[in-house]
Amino acid sequence: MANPLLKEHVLLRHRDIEDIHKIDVYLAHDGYRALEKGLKEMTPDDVTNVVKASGLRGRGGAGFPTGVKWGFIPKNLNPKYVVVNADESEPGTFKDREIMESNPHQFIEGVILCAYAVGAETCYIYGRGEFWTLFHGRMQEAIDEAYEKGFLGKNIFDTDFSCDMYLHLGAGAYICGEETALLNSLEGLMGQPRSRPPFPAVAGLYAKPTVVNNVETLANVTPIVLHGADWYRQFGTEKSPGTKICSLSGRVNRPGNYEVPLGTPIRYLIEELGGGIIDGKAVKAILPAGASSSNMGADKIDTPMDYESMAAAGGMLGSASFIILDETINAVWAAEKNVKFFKHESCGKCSPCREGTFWLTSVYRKLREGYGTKQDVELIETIINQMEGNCFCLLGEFVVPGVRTSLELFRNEYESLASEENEVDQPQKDLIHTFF
Amino acid sequence: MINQLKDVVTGSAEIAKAMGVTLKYFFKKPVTHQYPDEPVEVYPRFRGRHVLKRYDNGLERCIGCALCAAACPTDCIYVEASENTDEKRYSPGERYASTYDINMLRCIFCGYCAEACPTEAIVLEHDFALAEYNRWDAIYPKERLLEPHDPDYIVLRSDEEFKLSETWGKK
Amino acid sequence: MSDNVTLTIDGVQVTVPKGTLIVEAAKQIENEIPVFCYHGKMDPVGMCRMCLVEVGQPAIDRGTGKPELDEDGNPVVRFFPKPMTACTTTVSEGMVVKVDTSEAAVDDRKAVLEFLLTSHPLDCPVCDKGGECPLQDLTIRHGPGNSRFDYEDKQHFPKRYPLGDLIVLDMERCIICARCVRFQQEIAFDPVLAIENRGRRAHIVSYSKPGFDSHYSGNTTDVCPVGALTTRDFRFGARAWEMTNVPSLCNHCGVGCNTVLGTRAGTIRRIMPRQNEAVNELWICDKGRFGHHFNGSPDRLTTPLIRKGEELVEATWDEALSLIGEKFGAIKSANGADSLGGIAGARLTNEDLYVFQKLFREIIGTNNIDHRVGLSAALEDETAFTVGVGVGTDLGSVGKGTTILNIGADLDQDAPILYLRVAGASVKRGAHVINAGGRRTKLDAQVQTTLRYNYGSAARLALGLLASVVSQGLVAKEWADSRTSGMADLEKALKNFGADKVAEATGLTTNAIDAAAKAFAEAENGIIIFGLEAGNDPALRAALEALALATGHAGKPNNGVIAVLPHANSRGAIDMGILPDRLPGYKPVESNAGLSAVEMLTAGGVKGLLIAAADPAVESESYKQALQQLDFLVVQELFLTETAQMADVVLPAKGNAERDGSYTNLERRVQTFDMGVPAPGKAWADWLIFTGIAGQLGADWAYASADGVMAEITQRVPLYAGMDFKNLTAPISLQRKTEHYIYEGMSFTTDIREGIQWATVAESDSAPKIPLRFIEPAKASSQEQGLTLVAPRMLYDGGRLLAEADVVNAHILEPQLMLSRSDAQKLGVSTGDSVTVSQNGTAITVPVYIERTVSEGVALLPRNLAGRPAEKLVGPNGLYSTVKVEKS
Repeated sequence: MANPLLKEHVLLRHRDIEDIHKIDVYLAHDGYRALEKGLKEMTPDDVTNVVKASGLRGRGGAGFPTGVKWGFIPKNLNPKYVVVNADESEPGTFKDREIMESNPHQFIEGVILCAYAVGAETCYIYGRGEFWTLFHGRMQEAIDEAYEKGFLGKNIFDTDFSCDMYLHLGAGAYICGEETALLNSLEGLMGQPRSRPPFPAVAGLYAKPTVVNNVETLANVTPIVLHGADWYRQFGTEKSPGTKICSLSGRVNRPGNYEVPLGTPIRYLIEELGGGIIDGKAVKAILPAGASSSNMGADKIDTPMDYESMAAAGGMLGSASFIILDETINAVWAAEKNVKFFKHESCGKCSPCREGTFWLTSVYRKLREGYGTKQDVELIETIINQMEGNCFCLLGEFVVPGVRTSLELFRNEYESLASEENEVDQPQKDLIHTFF
Repeated sequence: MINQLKDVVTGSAEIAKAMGVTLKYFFKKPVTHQYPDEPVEVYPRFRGRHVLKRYDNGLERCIGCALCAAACPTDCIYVEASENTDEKRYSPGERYASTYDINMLRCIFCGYCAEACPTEAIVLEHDFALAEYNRWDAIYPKERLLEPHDPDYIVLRSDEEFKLSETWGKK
Repeated sequence: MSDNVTLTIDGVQVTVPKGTLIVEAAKQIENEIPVFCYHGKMDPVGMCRMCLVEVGQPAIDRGTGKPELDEDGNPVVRFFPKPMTACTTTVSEGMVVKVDTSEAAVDDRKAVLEFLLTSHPLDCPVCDKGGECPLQDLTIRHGPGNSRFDYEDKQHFPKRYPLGDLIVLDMERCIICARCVRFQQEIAFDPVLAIENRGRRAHIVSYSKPGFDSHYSGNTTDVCPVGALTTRDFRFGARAWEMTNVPSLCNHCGVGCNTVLGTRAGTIRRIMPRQNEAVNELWICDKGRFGHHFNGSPDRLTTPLIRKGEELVEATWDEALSLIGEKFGAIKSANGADSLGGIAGARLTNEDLYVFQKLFREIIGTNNIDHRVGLSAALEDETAFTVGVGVGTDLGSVGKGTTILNIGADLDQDAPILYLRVAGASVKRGAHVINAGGRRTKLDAQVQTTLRYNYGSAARLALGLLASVVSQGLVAKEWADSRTSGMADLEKALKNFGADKVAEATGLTTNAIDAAAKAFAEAENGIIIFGLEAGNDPALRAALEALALATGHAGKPNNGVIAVLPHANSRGAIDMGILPDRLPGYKPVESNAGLSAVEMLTAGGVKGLLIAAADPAVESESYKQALQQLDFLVVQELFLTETAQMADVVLPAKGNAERDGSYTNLERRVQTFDMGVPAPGKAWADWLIFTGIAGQLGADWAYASADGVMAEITQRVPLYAGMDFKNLTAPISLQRKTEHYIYEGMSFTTDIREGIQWATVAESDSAPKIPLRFIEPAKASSQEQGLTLVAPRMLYDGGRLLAEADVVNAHILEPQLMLSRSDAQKLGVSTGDSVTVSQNGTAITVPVYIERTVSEGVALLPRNLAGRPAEKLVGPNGLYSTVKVEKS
């Protein structure tokens, strides 16, 4: 599939080259040359520095500079681990899956380079439970092939560097995409986030220094090492260089993954790549980072997709999973779906998230079923205010922006659902009698 | 003589006056009750002997929480709680009062227990006949306190009568 | 830079050590930051979000590295954008914390409470925690006045979900603070609880078999900040405010846990731990918590009984006492004083035991007294007098730099709270624990070094360690020279003993012994714990004493020896001289030492016997026969035991909840307990009974109370000087005066007493030098074919007191022979098959249980189970014997 913005895909190379998941095809197209270059010509610090210089930022959502993150790993504590967060569970996100399904070697090569850069010899790829066929199929095959060819295992390219890679499947919990919960789950504990500090860079997996990176991030490392930081910086903007895979879904004609240089306007993604809205309806809201993002109104459609511009427009780039709502969608219904998702996925560790999401769903249900009141609309606002900043990890915090912006933008829809009639002063319920 | 006559006249007048009063009341409705042959009327909010109420299905309302005992200013209530089982169920929840004693000699009928009760199990009803031959009998166990307790010597004043009594206290 | 930091909390400055958590710092200035999941004894997790506070730090100018100042010259404080959890944030210099002064933080806490209450059933009227519930109290103090949550939307969960047979979970009430889960993981080291599922469906589960398989399960109900966990025992027992809380002591083992009797209407409703950081911290084991039902048992003796023919008939105290006086007087005048004797169980208080020995020594005039019958006899200890752990020892605080050597004690079964403290010292505070034993015990999983020796070679191991200390040159010369004598002789004796044979005898490598010796000798503090399974061996005790002395681990706090004695007051019984050859205060009897319990209980030993709080008839047939041949037997007891049924006079005694008194625990800490409930019928305290008997024999003692007896003990026993009740019951000032139950889970107010330890010889500088003793260990047992029978003690014993506690009955094992899998295979038996165990013609038949902790060649037969099966095979003084096991 041609992409007018890119001559060649950087990450989705399988769209240019057929069968690149096969190691022979991959090798024929510069496969593992980055690894060879890294291991033979560069020191680990060089690798870190080139990633730093490239300005690569974490593609999992937070956008933290990857090279800086690697730099935090203490040198003298061993062993170290590289953990790849392939627990891609954000609704509307399916980019890592495509990389692993169709271009696994570029990703594996990136992981090995990362391990080399931080001095780790063990890499774990933690995938969501639904990746069963992928992890037991193509990913495992790719790793086996890499072992066979000597890109994994002992003394890779006859250097001192050895690296092992393991696949691990979660049991299907959104929270395990949170890095500390992921580490807990990987250790065999309950998938609940840990309190920070200590950060994983100091005490992560098995209390050892650990780098946790997203699949897409590490897939970027391969071309960066191969072609250099300057080459990479030709894509994207000054502060957000590189390309990004955007998962486009919702009410568009051609949903799917699109790799674009950072800084491309959303309108281009929706109208040119996505083929516009179904039936030519108007855009109502854009959820730029799946369920956990704020709603951006239709007026923000020209915002360039880079970390800074999106934040300035009141959204966030996150994992760039654009869910497009058109005017046929009821905002309350959409928000309720998201809240229900979070209620289902809340790990239950901290009370604001556990109880707040539960409470929100019951208020939303009340509104939807038509016996809500104006106070209920305000209640939604207070509940998210009470959750904001008080949760243990980001899962609870992610509930807030979506609901808040939905309320801000579409309050009239909420209020049209709230009926005046329901506001009749009900006598105080006899609580004890209800209970006993 | 005159004086004697005077005395007779005044005396008769006094007697007549007194008899007049008697006569007046002779035709009036008597204020006394033929208790216990006739029932006594009490006002609905009269606080008399406690009754432990039941739900319509016969289960006890009391859950043995002992808040009545905690509220009691004279410490005349003693509660022991136990756990309901499916075989032996006294009240709807998990807990019921296995012992519930009220020492009626100590009780001052303040009604705090009824106020404290979360299930409206204990109510000060209208029985006032609390005399006993033996002091120990004045400690009412749960069996005596539980509903039904409708002594036939008490009737409630009707609401109509209540309305008539609006002037009550105003002379 | 100093190790303290100063911070400001709500405008109040406080200086605390580095690394302190904000919540702890606030406690010191009595600023109570509300918490649910935080517990002072556990690692913070920050789950409940109740302790949110605003935290600010002085702004540092990046350019100059100096604090920024505002116009008035005050440092600028930058607050974090989000509220922080006070329970996970450590203090830093200049930090500013706003608890009640920050509107945002107040609102946040209100929000968290409203959230928590949305899922809480609000059934406070029927909840056992009602009245002492942190959730209730914090809601009243910090919570919103009403809830906007629609009551119809409440989720309902099982309200009676048994986690085990002792603990019941109410899933609705649970607020998922994980205190119970963390208690089991971090403090009890029994990770049998977990949270299952997520979100609102998260709940506590136990998948162990049997459910909630832990000796410490009851403590989870104390730490639970809501009424979610309740004990089967106390469910709906009483409301918190109705109970009178009486300070008491646990009488089930020698640890001496401080307890609180929750009493109401003359009955004990519950037992909870009473804080004593030096003894039990905040915990008690399940035996202590649930084993109190004997106090209110309907089977208790209520009146004296006198034998009339075959019958025991009720009598008055006057009749009973005068009969005893008459009979004892007659026996004494006919056969001499030494034809009388007395056995007193180590369950009695110091006061009882003192009066008991005074009765026999001063009034009757014999030394025929002993406390070592049955189980007690299994362990003696005189090392406490010389090298017992120093005054001020606190196992709950020792950590890095301390080595604890445990020989032959299965602490989890023998002294459960000691187990928590030793394991905690090892795991949480980094002490080096060396666990030496003949089989795998629970402590092994928590220690750094395990020495698995062959049964019977404990004394050799101790001597091996001592020899290794000497040969490695690790003797604390200066101290040993100044405080001990006979070092040269000891060294010579060790050489002759042949330390090289130790490895062979014990089955350990020389390296392992050397490493252990080095770890112990080089540690800053060294504590030796020894227990029953090491054997009742004077050679062992002498070796351990010498080891402590030679390494200088004696005479100071956190150093010395602890013997894990079996009963609540075993230490007190030795202190009070309830031994045929020792007077109170470890003074030897100069002449005519009396008969021991075993000698008294052989036919023809004595003619008249007084047995208090002991039941020898159960333990052996020969005892029973001896008792039958007595001219006169007096038994004072709580129950009509087998021994009591044989008595001529039975006297009803008071249980420990029904009277006051004092116990001396393993660490020689003398502690008092108060009377909680009235005694049944006409029972008397034991000291009063002894006084009454003495009165009949012509004494004119006038003890008015246990207090009065103790006053005399302080005069006559130098070790106990100053230990009158006034000092013993003096409440110590708690560091935390605020309502610490929110943090630690116990709401009642009651006396917190620390007790007083008596000082050992090693601690007194003016004492004469302590001789280093060497005793040659007995020859290794003959090479008979068969299994080595070991008789350990179980926590849940088959005794009369625990039999009354219905809730724990399921935990009391039936007598069974525990074998390793390989031995069982050799014998062709499997779990449940019955076998005949025989030795020297005595045989018993018991079922087999295959236990993976047992090593090959060893058979375990717990000794304190119903019928005392092991006593019949190993004899009361021995610990091991070689037995023949056959399938029957």
